[in-house]
Amino acid sequence: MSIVDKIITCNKRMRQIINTAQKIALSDVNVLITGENGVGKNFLAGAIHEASNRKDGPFIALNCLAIPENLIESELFGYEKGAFTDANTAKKGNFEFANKGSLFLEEIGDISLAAQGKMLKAIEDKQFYPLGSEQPVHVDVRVISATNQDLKAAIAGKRFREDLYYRLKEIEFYVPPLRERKEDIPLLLDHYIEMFCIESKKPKMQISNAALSQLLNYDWPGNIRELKNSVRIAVFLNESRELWLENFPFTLQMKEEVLVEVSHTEMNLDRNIAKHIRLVYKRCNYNKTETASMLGISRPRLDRYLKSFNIIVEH
Amino acid sequence: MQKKILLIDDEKKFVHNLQMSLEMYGFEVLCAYDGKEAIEKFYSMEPDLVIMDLVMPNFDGDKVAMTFKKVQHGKNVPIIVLSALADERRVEQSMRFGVDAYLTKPYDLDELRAKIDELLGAQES
Repeated sequence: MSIVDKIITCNKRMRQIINTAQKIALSDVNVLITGENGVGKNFLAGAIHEASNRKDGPFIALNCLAIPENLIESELFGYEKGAFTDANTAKKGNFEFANKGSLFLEEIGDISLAAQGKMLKAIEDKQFYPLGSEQPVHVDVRVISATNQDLKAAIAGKRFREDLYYRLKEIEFYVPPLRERKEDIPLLLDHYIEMFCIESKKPKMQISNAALSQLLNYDWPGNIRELKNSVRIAVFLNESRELWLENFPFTLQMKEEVLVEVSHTEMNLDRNIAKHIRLVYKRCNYNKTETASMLGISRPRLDRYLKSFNIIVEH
Repeated sequence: MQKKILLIDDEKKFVHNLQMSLEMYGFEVLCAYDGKEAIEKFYSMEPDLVIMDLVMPNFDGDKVAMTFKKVQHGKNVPIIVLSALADERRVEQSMRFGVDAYLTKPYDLDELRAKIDELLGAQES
């Protein structure tokens, strides 16, 4: 299956990424995918594997952040029986499981320097030694890795090995955040609405114009993952054929923005000055000297304000 | 330089006829027959002007026009709606989304041409 068919986008930069990825998929170069959380780095990784000559081989995904530091080496390279106290049986590592296929390492920026060293050697030599073994295991693996971290900064901070970085990023794809490719929002909405309507056995819903307008304004800090989760909830909550803004989980937050945008009285400076003076005046028990001091203005100026805004003592 | 017009309508015959007329005027014409295809072509081919219907499958025209106007990547591509729907409310609604001109079907080619020139001229100045 081609990558174009798997990734929903009409964004120019994304199209360029997909075109390059489609070509590079057929080679064996190691790929580094960068970008914010939720932009779909794992999708691209899976699509590169599917478009490669390794597609009939395994695609093994490992989230480096989810594995405790002391276990990462055994997860990657496995161990021999008796390698350590609890090693009652031998265990294969993910490098071996991925043989003839692709190994996808998520959150690569989070692995220890010790594991980085072993990984570099395994990639360079195409072989490694499981813990406690003297027999090397030969592997034919393409490594696709992903991170939301700035690896160059991690290198400068001595948290990431530069030599491994260049091994992993024989080619790099930066997946732009959703706010920089908002034209994909309608297509993604349509895709996920259909998907979740089928999942929840509801008739196909349409997004309302007002909802689409707000969803296009929103910046989606959690990117596609946030959009997908929002649509799932919206479809679940909605009982009509049209999806409204109120169905989406972040409605309240957006409503506030809308309020500031539309309510002219709330934005009026004089009204807010009067409101504020009234509040401070009341808090100072209608003592003018104290109120003026609290407001940081002179007593005559306060008198002028009280008069012009017609603020009276409320008992 | 030859200007690119994206023509969006689900009536193929209508699109074909208008495409020929516009090409005779010297425009490059891209065609899309539903909302999804329209969005894809707009962002990949970057036309200078859009002529579109409002009623079509896979996203109605309102949503397509709204997306075009809200997500422009620093440009302002004029949109002419060419629709059989002529009631005032409909026109007003489209204008609210930022549509630049609203013409009704059956259209008058000279009027359409004048509108295109006006909007493309305004874009250049």
